[in-house]
Amino acid sequence: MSKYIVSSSPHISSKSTTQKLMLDVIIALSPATIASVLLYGFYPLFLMVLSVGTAVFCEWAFNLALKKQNSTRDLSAIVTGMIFALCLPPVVPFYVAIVGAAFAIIIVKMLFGGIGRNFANPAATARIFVMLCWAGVMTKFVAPIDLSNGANLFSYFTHAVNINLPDAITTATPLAVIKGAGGNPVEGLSALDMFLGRIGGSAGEVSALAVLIGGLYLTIRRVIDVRIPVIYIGATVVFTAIFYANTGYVGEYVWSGLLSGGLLFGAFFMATDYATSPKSTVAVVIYGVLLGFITVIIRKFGSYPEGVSFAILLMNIVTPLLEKIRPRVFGQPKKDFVLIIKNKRAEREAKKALKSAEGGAND
Amino acid sequence: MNLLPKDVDRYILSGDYDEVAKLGVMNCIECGVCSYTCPAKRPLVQSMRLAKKEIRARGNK
Repeated sequence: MSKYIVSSSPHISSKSTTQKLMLDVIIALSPATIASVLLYGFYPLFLMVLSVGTAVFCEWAFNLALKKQNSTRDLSAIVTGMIFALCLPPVVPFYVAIVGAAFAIIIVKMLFGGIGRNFANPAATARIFVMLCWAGVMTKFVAPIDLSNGANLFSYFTHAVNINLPDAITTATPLAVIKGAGGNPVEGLSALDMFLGRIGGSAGEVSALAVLIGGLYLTIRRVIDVRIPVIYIGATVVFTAIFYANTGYVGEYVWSGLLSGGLLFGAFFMATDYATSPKSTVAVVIYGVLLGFITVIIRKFGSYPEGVSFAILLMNIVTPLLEKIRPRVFGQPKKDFVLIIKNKRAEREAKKALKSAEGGAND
Repeated sequence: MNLLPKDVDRYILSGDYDEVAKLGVMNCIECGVCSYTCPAKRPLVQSMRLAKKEIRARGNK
């Protein structure tokens, strides 16, 4: 008689793998990458190569050193490297990209257990770290390359080591204007400029169009939970309108807050990381609304002109608490909750009666 | 439905049997859809089975 091999369910497996998900994210990041090259030349691409290379190397080396299986095959280090590189201003020195990527992979991801165990989004946290280390460099933004001016796509390579070259025209980002003197943050900029990215800002964040194309792709491919960016962006718009209501320029603040700065990029690519975002509907709503609230509060009252990375870090840390809000298991009667409350009340009253009895006996 | 295999897996792997009891694990019929969909191909069905065994051993509390 032939032998049957009995195994556990499931007997088949879906085609979706971590590698395929990461590949989708890489595809979704390409519009932003291409935009950063079109706007700022090849230097941001060079930074991205450094960042991705460092990230993959660090993950490989860490696994080797701790005698673990090589996990770089799942492409998540590449994704982290790309996202981090797109968070940087396009003219940072090369060491910023390397150190930040190493920090993201080694400290935020690998030291906490590798993929799926990070306590916060590695790219967002690395950005904060790099901002704290090199504050001057991380807040220096430049205008996009103007090819008609005799510049070429390699112009910004001179910044690889020396940031203080005079050929870059430092531009204030719209958010920096909001932070500074107030007044109209989009003086001289049209909404089209902000949408396409012809403004100062970080390499991947400036082109709202590119980020939205990527976000749409991720939504269609069902890689991200689209509730998170929608609620986050919606909440930010609402809170911006509330907190800037008494300036003369509410509409401009809302538009510039939406289309410049890291909001769209952070909402679609960083806040949606599976390991650090909640799943149940109530928890997701709280997550998104608080993200928006913290972003606007930091933008308005904090000393940095941008609040997205801090908001994402804070809410990532809060996520385990939010995950305790669990949906009702199918079949669990709602009556259970009433019973629990009744029992708790009876317990409390019994304890009170006991205490007063003891208290009376002690007189 | 609305069982949370990912949470059960996490609690089981860290040995937190008290929290697991709150997740309604006894409703699991071991259909395997959780492991089927998982992109990381984690053995979630096996974790659920272990959780059920632990709960039964502790008297179905």
